[in-house]
Amino acid sequence: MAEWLTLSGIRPVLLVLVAVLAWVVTRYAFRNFRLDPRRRAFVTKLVGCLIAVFILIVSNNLIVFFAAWMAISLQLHSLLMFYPERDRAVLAAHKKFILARCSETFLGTAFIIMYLTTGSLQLDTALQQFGTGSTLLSQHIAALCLVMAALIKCAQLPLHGWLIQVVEAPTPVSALLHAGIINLGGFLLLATVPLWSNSALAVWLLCLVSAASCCFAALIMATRISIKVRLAWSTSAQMGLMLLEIGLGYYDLALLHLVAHSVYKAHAFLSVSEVAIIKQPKARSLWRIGVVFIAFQGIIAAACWWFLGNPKWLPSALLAMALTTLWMNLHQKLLRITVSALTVVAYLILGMLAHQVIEPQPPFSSVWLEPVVTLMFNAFAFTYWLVHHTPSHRLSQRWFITLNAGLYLDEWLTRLVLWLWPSHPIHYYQRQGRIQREKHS
Amino acid sequence: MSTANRLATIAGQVSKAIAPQWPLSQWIAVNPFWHYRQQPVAGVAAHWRYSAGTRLLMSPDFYWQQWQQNRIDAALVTNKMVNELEQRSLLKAQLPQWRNLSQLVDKYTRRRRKMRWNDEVVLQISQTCGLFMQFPTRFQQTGKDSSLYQHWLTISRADRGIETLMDEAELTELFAQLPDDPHTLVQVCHDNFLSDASDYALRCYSQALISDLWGWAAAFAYQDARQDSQWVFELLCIRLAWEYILWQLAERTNTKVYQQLQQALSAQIENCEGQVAHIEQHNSLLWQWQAAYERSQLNRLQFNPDTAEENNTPHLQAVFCIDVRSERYRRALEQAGKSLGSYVQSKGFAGFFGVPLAIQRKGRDVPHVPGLLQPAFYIKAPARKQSVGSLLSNMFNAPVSMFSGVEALGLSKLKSLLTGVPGQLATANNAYIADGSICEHNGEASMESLVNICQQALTGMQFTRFAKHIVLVGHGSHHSNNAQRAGLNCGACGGQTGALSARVLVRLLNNQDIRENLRERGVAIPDATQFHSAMHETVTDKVIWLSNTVPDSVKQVFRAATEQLTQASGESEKDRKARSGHWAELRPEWGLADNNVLFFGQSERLTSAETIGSNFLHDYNSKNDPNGELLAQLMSAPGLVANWINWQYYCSVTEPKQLGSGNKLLHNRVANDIGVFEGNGGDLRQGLAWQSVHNGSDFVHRPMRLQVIVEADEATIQQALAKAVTFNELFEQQWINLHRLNARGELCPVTTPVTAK
Repeated sequence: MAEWLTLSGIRPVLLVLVAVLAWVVTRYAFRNFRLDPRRRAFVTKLVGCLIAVFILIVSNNLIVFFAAWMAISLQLHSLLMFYPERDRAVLAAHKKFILARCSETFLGTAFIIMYLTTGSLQLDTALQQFGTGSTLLSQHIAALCLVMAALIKCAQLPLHGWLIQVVEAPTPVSALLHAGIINLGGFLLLATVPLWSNSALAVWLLCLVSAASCCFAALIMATRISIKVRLAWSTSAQMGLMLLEIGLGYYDLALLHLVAHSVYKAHAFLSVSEVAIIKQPKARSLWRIGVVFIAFQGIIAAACWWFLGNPKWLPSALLAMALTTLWMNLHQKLLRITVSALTVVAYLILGMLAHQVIEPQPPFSSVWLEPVVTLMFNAFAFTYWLVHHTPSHRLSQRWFITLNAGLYLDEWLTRLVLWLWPSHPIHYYQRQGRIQREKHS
Repeated sequence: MSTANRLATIAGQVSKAIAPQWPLSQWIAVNPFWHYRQQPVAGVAAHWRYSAGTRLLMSPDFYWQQWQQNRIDAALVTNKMVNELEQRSLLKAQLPQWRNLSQLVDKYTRRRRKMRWNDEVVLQISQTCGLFMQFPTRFQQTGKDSSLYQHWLTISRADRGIETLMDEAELTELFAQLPDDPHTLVQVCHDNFLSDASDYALRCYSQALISDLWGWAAAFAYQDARQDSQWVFELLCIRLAWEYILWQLAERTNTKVYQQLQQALSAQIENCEGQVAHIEQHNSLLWQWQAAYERSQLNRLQFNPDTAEENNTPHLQAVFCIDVRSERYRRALEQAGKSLGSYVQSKGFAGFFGVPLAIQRKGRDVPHVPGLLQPAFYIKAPARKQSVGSLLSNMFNAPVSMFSGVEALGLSKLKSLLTGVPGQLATANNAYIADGSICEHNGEASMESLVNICQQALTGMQFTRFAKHIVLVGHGSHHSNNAQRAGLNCGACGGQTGALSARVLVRLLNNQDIRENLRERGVAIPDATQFHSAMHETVTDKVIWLSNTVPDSVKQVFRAATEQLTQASGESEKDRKARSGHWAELRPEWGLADNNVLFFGQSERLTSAETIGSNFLHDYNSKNDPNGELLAQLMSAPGLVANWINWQYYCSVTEPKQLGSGNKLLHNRVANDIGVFEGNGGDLRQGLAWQSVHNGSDFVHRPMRLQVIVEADEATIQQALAKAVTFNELFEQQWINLHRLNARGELCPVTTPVTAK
């Protein structure tokens, strides 16, 4: 059995998570399509997709793993094409289709290199041997391929457009995608740590791309007008953070993030017509927020250094941002302190729990990587406050428009996709209509 | 009209004629053609069919199917009609339609491997409008004087996205050269490519342009009506500016396409009037069929002959909203009363019970009145406390706090992920609101104005005798996760539940001082009479008691009615409850689907059982109304509301694409809940979702214009029509049909009054 199945590492946690999501989403979809004549087709596709996810998580064989990886994306494609009469849904599905094939090519290459170097098709033995037996070059190539596969899967900039545009699909599909399938990039990296963590090149690539994605996607999110699109941008940003945490060796935090984000995002999508309106931030003095933020950041980093022997730059910065927001939004003193304390305590406890499942480790000893990334996040926080708390500022206006346009990244990809796959769904429908008419007559 | 501002005037008129759409929190039914009511329906339909492809009739197939299934009486149809319809349903003729330049460009340039213009233009404008409404502090810095057109221009000039996407570098320059003022732009467009267009053609063109963004136009029409801005007009200008850009782009880059555009445009300008006439003539057959279909459906109604009035005082009286969902409850309640041996009388009245009320919270009003009325009274509500839920949602949605926030607190959503988000129903049980003091604009409401409301309400409800217990039953819908929730609540209460209005009026009517005053005015409520408030929950047909003084004997009758309805529905109580509480349920109830009759008269006279749930019933007794004054009031208030509801459903069935809001599964709330997108974008949607009018295999709403039936003599009706001007317009131009119920229980036609013009 061990040849085919494995339950090592984070797999038990993920299995529970996917099981919960599968149960919730399938029930939801079943109800959603209560009177719909295509209920069966939809639920079948959904279940097919979920089965592939289960297989992927427990498989210990490279070929099965790859086949499941591919099957998920193909099943998802048929779900995204559930309404083929919708132009934009089709365009987004095509975009996703092309990118998924790219991601598979990278993954396939990495697996082939693994097999060629180790001679084993078993994931766990291949991983064990790969660390010792491979040449430098093949190691780098395999690591880069894996990282690329994960980055594409997790919709990182500049290949993120499809994730935003597939909100054209029915709500259960969005929930499944945003809470489940998109995390697989993170799962892939967490399951193959020895393969890529020794390649400095791959780690730098992973960290810089995901950090940039994370910051920009979060900034863009705040300029969007519809609820589902905001949620989609938020997913792109959150996936960026998860990958970044993996890149920096915070595997425990990454796992915590994966689980907590899945639960939150599934809930957010499934209750998308119920959630409260997002309030616009009020105009505020940038200085005051800045001082509060820097103070929090300093205190938390110092505390970490004192108790844990490591300043933990990135988590400190992120926690400081959350606390600053709470501090600025809550005006009663008692409430401020309670909610802040609650957040910190919850964070610590959950972090410790995740720690039991997977050990963090510094992947390679570049002293500069984490501080550089943390600086990026500081810049990100100040940009956000500048843009949203001082709306009449000239710089704020200009930035806002650029961000709202998504930094013009996706336009190029759309053009490329249309050029590669010039199908206009209207033609498809006309064709279908003609066939039906011929049948009738 | 001088040629200089011809286009501006026509565009202004077309913009003014767009009916408003309320934001989601107050989302009530609207007749999209409200401002066209002074023109005959067939003419308006033909005009919009040509300009925008809008269908206000079902397809020939539909009528043919109805005919084949014997749903249309043979007596109402001639052989010629049948033959022609059969040919039509086989032939499937394409009707001509005006094409905007963006559509023509798509047709003539072969953009097989590129994005096409029409979609992209609509998306771009729609997104810009969304920004305008989502970020008012940024983009509407001068409030109502902020110019939508200039906002669009600023964004378009700064944004390089569309140039990249469409692969047209020239756009940058074209945007830069656009006039800064919408009126100048209209002038420039007119001189450039519309100088030889007739007024008629300009009107078609304006309608065609605004119909691309009809949803946003409707949302802006709501804003314009409240603050005297010109945003619909500016929206039209934006759409026109895009046409001008595409025109210039063709001129600069592609001579062949440019020539084709010129030819196509001038051909359209020349032919449009003839084409509309052609459509009108072509569709006259279908209008005949539509009339026959409506009449056939109407013939299913059965009426009793007029019987002598019952002279007993009822044991229990219950006043319901005229909503069609109340009809089924009222019938069940009367039945239940009979089987329990007590005489129960039910009455129908507008669901806000005549109290024009608004809740004022943080300087913002939430009106509890029909869309056509303004609230005259206010109750101040305390500011809502920050709930844990909203705190969390703010934390998860702000970019800087969402990362650690989700890691630390994301799991708190686990429980509600597993159980689902429960449904909501506002019962106005907050003591501040339900017992809050009622204010007018200048301080607390005077005793006199309160007594006035009470008197009007009681007269309107046609109380001649008072039972010991009188229950005012508002209604509301308990369900979850529906962006258009307000549409299933009480339309007469501005999309809120009827709980507040019922509570307030009951409080007033139980007040001894007010009763004293009423007695002085000749309305004597016996001391023994008690008023109670309740709410009819329309998904499960349960009654929720709002007063806590209700005796068990009364409750028992209502309980029996609920039981009877549950049995009749063929569903178990559990199933019904599941529909009301499940967060994935898209069809918690059918709302006002299949509404088609408005009956002013004594509800006992309507006896047919199979049509229960399609009729708006409003109590009216013509014996107490010699001059038709009351009838005129009824026509001008509930009559118009029913027309709005009816046309919303009608259009959502005949034209689901433009006037319906698409698939509920894809609903995506936009810009502080001003409305919904379907999926990722396109225009803002208006009207009802597909799931609200269709059960997966068939429409649940029969597309019929409202059939108004009045129990009165011809003279009274004519007197009332003369006073109810708006209603009369609807009637004359056939937006509604009007019938008279005579003493023998037959429906007679009402003659169209000859109005002096």
